[in-house]
Amino acid sequence: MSTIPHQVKLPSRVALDVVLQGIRIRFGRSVVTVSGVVLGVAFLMSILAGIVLKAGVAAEDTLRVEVERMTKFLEAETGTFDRKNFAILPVGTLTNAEARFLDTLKNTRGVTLRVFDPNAFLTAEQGELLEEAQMEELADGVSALLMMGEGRPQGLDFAEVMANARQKVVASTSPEIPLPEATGILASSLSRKLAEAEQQALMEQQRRDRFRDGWIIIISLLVTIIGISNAMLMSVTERFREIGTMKCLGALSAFVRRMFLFESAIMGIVGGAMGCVVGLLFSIIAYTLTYGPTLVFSGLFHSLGTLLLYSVVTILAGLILSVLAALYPASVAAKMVPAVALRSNI
Amino acid sequence: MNSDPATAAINQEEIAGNTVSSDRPLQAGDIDTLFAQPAKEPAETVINAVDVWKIYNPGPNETQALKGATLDVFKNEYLSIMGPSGSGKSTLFNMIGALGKPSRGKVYIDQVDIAQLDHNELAWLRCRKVGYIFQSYHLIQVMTCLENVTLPMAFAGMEAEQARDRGVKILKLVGLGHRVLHKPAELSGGQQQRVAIARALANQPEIVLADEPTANLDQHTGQEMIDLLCSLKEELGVTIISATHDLKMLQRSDRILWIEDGQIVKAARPDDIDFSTSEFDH
Repeated sequence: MSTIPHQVKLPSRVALDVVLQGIRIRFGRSVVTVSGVVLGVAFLMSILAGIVLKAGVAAEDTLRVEVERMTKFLEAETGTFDRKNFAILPVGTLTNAEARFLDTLKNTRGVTLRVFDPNAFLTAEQGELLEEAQMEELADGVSALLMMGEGRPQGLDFAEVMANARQKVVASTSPEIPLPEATGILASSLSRKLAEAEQQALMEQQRRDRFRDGWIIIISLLVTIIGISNAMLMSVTERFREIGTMKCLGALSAFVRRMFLFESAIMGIVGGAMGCVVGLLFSIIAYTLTYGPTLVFSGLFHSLGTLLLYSVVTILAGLILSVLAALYPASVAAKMVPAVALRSNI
Repeated sequence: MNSDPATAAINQEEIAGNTVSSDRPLQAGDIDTLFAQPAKEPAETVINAVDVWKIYNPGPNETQALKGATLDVFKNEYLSIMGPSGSGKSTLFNMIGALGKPSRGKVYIDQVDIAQLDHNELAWLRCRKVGYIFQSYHLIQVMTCLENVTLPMAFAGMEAEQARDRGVKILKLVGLGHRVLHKPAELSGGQQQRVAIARALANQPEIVLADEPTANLDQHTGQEMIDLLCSLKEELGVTIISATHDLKMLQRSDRILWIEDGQIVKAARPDDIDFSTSEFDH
């Protein structure tokens, strides 16, 4: 009685060679399959990037409105900014809106800014172009003293500080900073504290937006899953007979599985990367056409990290979905008795 | 062994690792060079099928393709199987070729019960021991002829370079030396069948299972294929099992089995048969 040895286990390189050759030979079909992956991933990426871009645009828009209001309010108290001095007293680190407001003041022609910042609340960049002064002389000849930042001024006698000021205006850019009530001083808050009801409405709106975004993401994910699965399933099931033939010629199930693993991984990565770029470009172009380039690109700049994360997520989604969608039917075919796989007619 | 100077020259080329440069009919020496293997003693059985049943879709609508087929195939025998379509011929082929599992009964290849083999051993068996020639060729359409022929060699672990040389030689042997890099779709049916035959011979199988190998070939090519199969049998001790209606194939075979309704109904030697009778009306 003769014994039957085990079939040789071929190295992965052989499987990879067969796969690369296969992709090259059926290039047209491969392109169709990859386009399925590209479309799926592009759809998901365009939805995700759209949400990021929309948030960026909205944040940028709010910021601009806020800065504009601060500037208008200050101008209403002091008159035009031409040849005016202002004293800056940071009481905490600046919010985005405050930093932008400071920038606006710095860039206004004829405005000189003086600062007293012993606690170094300002960053080096924010402190640029500001004249440093001591507390005693900070407000000498200024048109307004601006308290900025998220904090509270410590034990200041505003009447004394503002004694030599040109206009005795004390303004704050944060609703949290308490305004002085000294006589002869015009105190003004440049920021606007939202009323309770307004704040609640805003939160409600945000909650609804998050909910809607969540739904859109889930639906787009489903579309992506179905799109990619369909493309990969088709490309594998139409090769059942080929798998059966390979089994007749002595291919191990593991070899068939590995072949399809490599093939689907290559298609998933290539399709995922292409889809990610296509989806991102599509979103950027669509939002640029709607909101204008400046608004979109300044928002885009602030959310590069999130977009990068989403790119990685979508490419991985393309890869994982492709591999799962291809490997499952390939395993089924590889496990089939060759006679059955050969007969299958799909 | 070869006194013919032309053949001797070709053999020298092949030994030196070169490919044969011209297309020509098959010659005896070619097989020796390609399948260097001593001829084996006949008489022992190589395949035994014992009461093999195959039932598709078990249940009320089941189809009984085989109903207790029993047969022995001897080593170095050329066995032809005849039967009308739907008689279970192809199913019997799949069972004795280890391409499917019988519902009942046993199939032994070289005295090994194939039901006891794991997928790994079955793969080895299908790769080295048996060469399959299908009626519808089952060539891989996206691969060239050469790649189709070298695929089983790759599965057997042969180096690509060596497989390539051997593949070219086998393709020349079946008369397709000039179509090595063509895809199956660019070939005629007969040429595709020859690629399928070349592929079946890739790993020097002991058994060649051929399902209507000459059905799609013209008279001349069909005759060449029969010659090729017969010389494989005679020189290398290959066992050939073939389903056919081709009188020429039947006349050249050692034994003929009739299968009807899933059972072997008759066995005969070609010498005992009058080929002009109505038994060949199927």
